[in-house]
Amino acid sequence: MSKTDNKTITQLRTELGELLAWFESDEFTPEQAVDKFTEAEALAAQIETQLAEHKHQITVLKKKFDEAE
Amino acid sequence: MASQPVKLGVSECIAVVNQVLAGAFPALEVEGEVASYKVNQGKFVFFDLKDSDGTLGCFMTVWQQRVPIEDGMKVIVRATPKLTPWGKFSLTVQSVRPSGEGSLKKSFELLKAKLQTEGLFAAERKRLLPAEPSRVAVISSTQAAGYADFIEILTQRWGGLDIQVAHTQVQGEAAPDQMIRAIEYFNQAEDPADVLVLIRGGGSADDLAAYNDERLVRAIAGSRIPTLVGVGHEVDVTLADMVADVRAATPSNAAQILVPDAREIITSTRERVRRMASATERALDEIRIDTRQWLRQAYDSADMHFDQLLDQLKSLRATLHAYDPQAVLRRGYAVLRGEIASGNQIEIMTEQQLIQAEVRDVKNR
Repeated sequence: MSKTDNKTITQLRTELGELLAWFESDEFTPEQAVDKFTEAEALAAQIETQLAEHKHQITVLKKKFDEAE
Repeated sequence: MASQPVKLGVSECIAVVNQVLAGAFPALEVEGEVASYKVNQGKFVFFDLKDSDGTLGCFMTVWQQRVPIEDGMKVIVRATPKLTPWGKFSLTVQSVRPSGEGSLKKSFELLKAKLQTEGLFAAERKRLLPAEPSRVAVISSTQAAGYADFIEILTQRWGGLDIQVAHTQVQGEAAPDQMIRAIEYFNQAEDPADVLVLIRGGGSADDLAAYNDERLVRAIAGSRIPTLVGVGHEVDVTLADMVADVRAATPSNAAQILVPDAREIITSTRERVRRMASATERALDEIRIDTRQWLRQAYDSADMHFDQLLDQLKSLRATLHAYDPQAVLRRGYAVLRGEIASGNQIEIMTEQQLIQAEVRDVKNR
């Protein structure tokens, strides 16, 4: 998967999922919520940026397959 | 002038005839119906090719026969005509392929039954594709519409993939071997791709026949890289589809299966953040409501205590009022100050007056 800041989209999504779980858990405290929410917004923005900006790298092999080597 | 007869030995004659035949038919294809098909010693295939007016003997090796055939099937053979040392004319066949829809279907069913018996299509053989692959190997013709569709959908849905494309023929006699070599190439890579994708757009049954080639099907089954095959339209089913770990209905569908949709992820990401915002808001609302409730309780409690204190104060004031000397004077009583004895001066205080008086006489009651 595509990478930014050494984190893949999968990793970013996992982190976002963990944050969401915290918001829905008994560990939730209003004092921490604002910071966690800011963190979640940053993760979401990073995910969107990665998805929007990353292009595929397509390589058509020069190797010919019409003859056995 | 009459030409001189050519005098040759038998072997020489056979060699010359074969030379002439090879010169006359450098690339010969013959179409006909298969008859008397048999395999000798598990290696050599013999059959006759016939039409309404003639029959030709055919010979080939089992290795060269890429599709199953049986008597009654209409086939096209690519062959070299040859006169054998025993003077028998036959076709040495390099390849054979079914001809016509009926024969293609028959050949497909024969090979399908054979591979099914071997368990090549069994569900337990199927591997899962990685949910989010990063390296993808593609085998297709880069000129094919199916390939363009695949790349377009892949680009619409996702980004950042490292895609290696092996450009091969996707129809015709050479196609299966080219695709097999490409499969071998990708499988021999030191760091293999996460998924191997074979794609081709729609076409006639004959066009798609390459994907029913036994050796290609076995190569797909033997791939150590999980395979995704999307060939033809939704209604087209090839043996390559059946043996693949995952079958896609079309090349576009292969792209849909291969990667998640970025737009869906963005939507779900926004939804997640929205849920967090709602959770925070809800929690803060609860705290706000609780705080208001507690304040209200505190106020009510203080109010009640204050009322009680006021009541007590009122009662004390009433009591105090009862002891007020002025109140007694107002009722008509008077206060005497001084020693009560005959001849003594005393002071009498009423509500309105202060009287100086002399005691004339004192008697006990």
